[in-house]
Amino acid sequence: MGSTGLVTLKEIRKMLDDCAPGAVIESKLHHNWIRYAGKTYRGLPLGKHGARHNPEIEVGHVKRMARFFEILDCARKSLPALR
Amino acid sequence: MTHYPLLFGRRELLEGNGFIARVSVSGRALLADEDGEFWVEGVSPGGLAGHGKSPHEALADFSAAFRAVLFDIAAEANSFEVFRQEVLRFFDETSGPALAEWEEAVRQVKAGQVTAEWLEKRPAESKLGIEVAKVSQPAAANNDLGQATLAA
Repeated sequence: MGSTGLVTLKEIRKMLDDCAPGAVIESKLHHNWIRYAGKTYRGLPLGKHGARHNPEIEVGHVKRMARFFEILDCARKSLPALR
Repeated sequence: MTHYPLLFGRRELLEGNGFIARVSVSGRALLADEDGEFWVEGVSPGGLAGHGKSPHEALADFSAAFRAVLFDIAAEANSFEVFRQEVLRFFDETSGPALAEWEEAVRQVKAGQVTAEWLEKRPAESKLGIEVAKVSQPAAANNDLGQATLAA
């Protein structure tokens, strides 16, 4: 499972819309929190340069978030950078 | 890709809104070597990860991420009890897929197929948990550097 590269928060949001409908992204002081199906992923980074509009986030973090929510197969189809 | 099953212990002291809390965790994490890039993924608690160019760098990043999650929880909690409940919820949210790989990695360690001489070993069945205590009488004896060990 390669984990290099960056994806934008906008791309992550689209993947969640495809694979985890109803998921909510909440920006906190230090991380983005993703809530879905009664679980919360609390460790998605705010981005390479901190919180800003449409930040870029390491693919490896997004893969682990998708694994946590058990949506990785769908996520790989929706977001090719995860393959 | 090689997976290493880790047991980690940390003790964090942090300030919340109107309280000081000590959080002591004994958790599980999965260290993966992905072509020279190392990732540490939380198992219990799940929901966070760290990475780096070496295992130690990845562990340090994971530890910083763990502390940052506690800081985010503290920032939003308006009382110690709210903070405590959210920290317990955080710990209980295990990553199912990561747990399955962690257990397989333990099997490989026990079979001698995976070794990590730079880590001490501890029984994979060691007690897990998280304790959140309100600090009213600080004491140096409570300081703890924390550690990561190989679950075996």
